[in-house]
Formats: sequence, structure tokens, C-alpha cells
Amino acid sequence: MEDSLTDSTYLILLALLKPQHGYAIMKEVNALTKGQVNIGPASMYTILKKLQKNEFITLKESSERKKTYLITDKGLHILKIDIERRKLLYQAGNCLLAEKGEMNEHV
Amino acid sequence: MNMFKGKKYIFSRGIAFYPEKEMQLLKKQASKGWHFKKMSHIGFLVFEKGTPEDKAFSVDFFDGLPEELSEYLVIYQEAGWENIANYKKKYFYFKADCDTPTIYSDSESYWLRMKKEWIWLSIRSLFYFPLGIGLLILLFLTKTLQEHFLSSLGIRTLLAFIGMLCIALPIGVAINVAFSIIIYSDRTKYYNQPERFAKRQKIVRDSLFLAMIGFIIGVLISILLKNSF
Repeated sequence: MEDSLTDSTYLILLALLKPQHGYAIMKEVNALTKGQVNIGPASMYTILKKLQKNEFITLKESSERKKTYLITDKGLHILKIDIERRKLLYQAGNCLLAEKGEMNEHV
Repeated sequence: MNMFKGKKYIFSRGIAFYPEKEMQLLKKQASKGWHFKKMSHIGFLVFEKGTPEDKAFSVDFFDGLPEELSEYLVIYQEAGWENIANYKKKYFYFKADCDTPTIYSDSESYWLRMKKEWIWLSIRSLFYFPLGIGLLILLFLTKTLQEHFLSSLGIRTLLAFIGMLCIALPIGVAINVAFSIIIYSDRTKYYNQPERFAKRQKIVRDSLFLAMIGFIIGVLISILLKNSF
């Protein structure tokens, strides 16, 4: 995984700040983004496996049907870096729009 | 296309290279009341007669461990995708209501899937390569043998054919993968629009092109190996 996280990966890591299983993560991501982002089951599974391989998340509990995951310290570190990166992008956009006098009040 | 006893068989377009197109076929058959049951070992899609239904179909390549399978299927099930069949526990077929979001929701994970699948296919086909080389070496070493079962022309031709096939298989897979990557280089952009991508997949054109490449390679090899066996 390179330095910047994809939106899906970013959101999944956010959801895994508390222990959750696959489908609960999907629902949490959907709620976090006010219904804007739906992570498909194939993407969900693929990303979970990749995050696990990179040791960004770990298996917390494992039963026959459900596996519960949780973010690791390494994952948390990466997440914080990415939040900073996203903040930078957001602030740049905000500043430039404000300079142009186009800042929308509700944003 | 064959039909008997309420069953219908259609030859698969190739689940590894044309899954999008194949899923459109399943959808079309379901709308006519032919429900997909399984893919047979030799590559026939088996349908059974039932009531017509309008459903979306997806197939995914699974490369996890057997003990990870139930978790995998539960995630699909809870997202609204019902597992309807599998092929050798590697390809899993699902169906869902048409408004269910697609199984892939970003291009990165879709690309990861393609990569995993192609690596698996290549490794599996490479398995036959040493056997092919071994057979050809055997034929080469026994070229001057007389009065031996290996000196019979029939057996030699058969062994040469099997040997060539074993060598051609991994080369064929490699060419197919390379072809797919080049011709459909923007496939990952269609991660959530498989029907749109299916329209762009031209199986006849691709087969002709690949057959041509195969023919040229075949001719080159036979010129190279002329009289060796």
C-alpha cells in the first residue's frame, strides 16, 4: 500500500477503529458517508484481505461465519497520515474558493 | 445450444476472460425462465427450466483459504448477493435483485482481483510445462531406437502431440493475459458497469486474432523443431 489510501480503504480503516465484522463495516461506511458510499462485497473482501496482509488491521475474533477485525497501531499511523493529507487537500480547496469569494456557507 | 429433459447447455464464453459477457448471458437466460445451475467440468453452462425472472448476476474469483469461504459468502449474502453455484471452489456465481449495488465498488480492488486470477491461471498452466518438455526430450533421445514400443510412429506422434499441448498451454495463457491487458486496458474503469463493458467484449474478433497468433507461433515452432523427433 502506497502513501495515499483510496476512499474505500480510508473509510474501512475508520470503521475499524472499533472491532467489527464485514457486513457491519459496510453498513458503517454507508452511514458515515450519509448513504453516498456503498462498498460492494467483492471489494470489501479484497480490501480486508489486503489490509490484513499489510498488518493495518488484525483479526480480533473468529467464528465459523463471522470474523471481527480491528485496526492495528500500524494501521492507525497510516490512517492519521492520510487524514492529514486529506485535510491539506480540503483546506487548499477551501482557501482558494474563499479567496475567489465563492465559499458556500453550508460547506 | 442443446436442450433435453428441461435442461439447456450452452458452451461457456470463458469465465476467466469474459465474465462480464457471460453474466449478461445468465441474465438473458433467466429472463426467459432458464436458471443457471452450474458450470460443468468441460465448460458447459447448465440451465434448468423455471419461471422467468429479472435478476443481476455476478461471478467472482476466490483465492482465499477454504476456512475463509464461509466469511466470504456471508459478506455477499448480507449485501444481497445470493450464491447460486461455484466452479471448482474458485469461481463463485451470485444473483441479486437488479437494483443491488455491484459487487465491486472501486477500480483498485477490481484490478487486484484480475491480477490474482491471472497469476493463478498462469501458475496452474505452468504445471504442465515440465511434463511437455520431458516428453519432447524423451522423444528426442529415443529417436534412433529400433524395435521398441517407442519406435512406433503412432505412439511417437501421440506423445509429440501431448508434449506440444503441455508446452502450448502456458504460452497460450500468457498470450491471452497479455492480449486482455492490452486490448481491454481500461477494463478496471468499468468495475461498477459490467453490462457496459460486456458490450465492448468482442469474443469472435478476439478468438480470430488469438488463433492467428497461435498459428504463427505453431508454424515457427514446427520449423524450429523440424526433424528433431
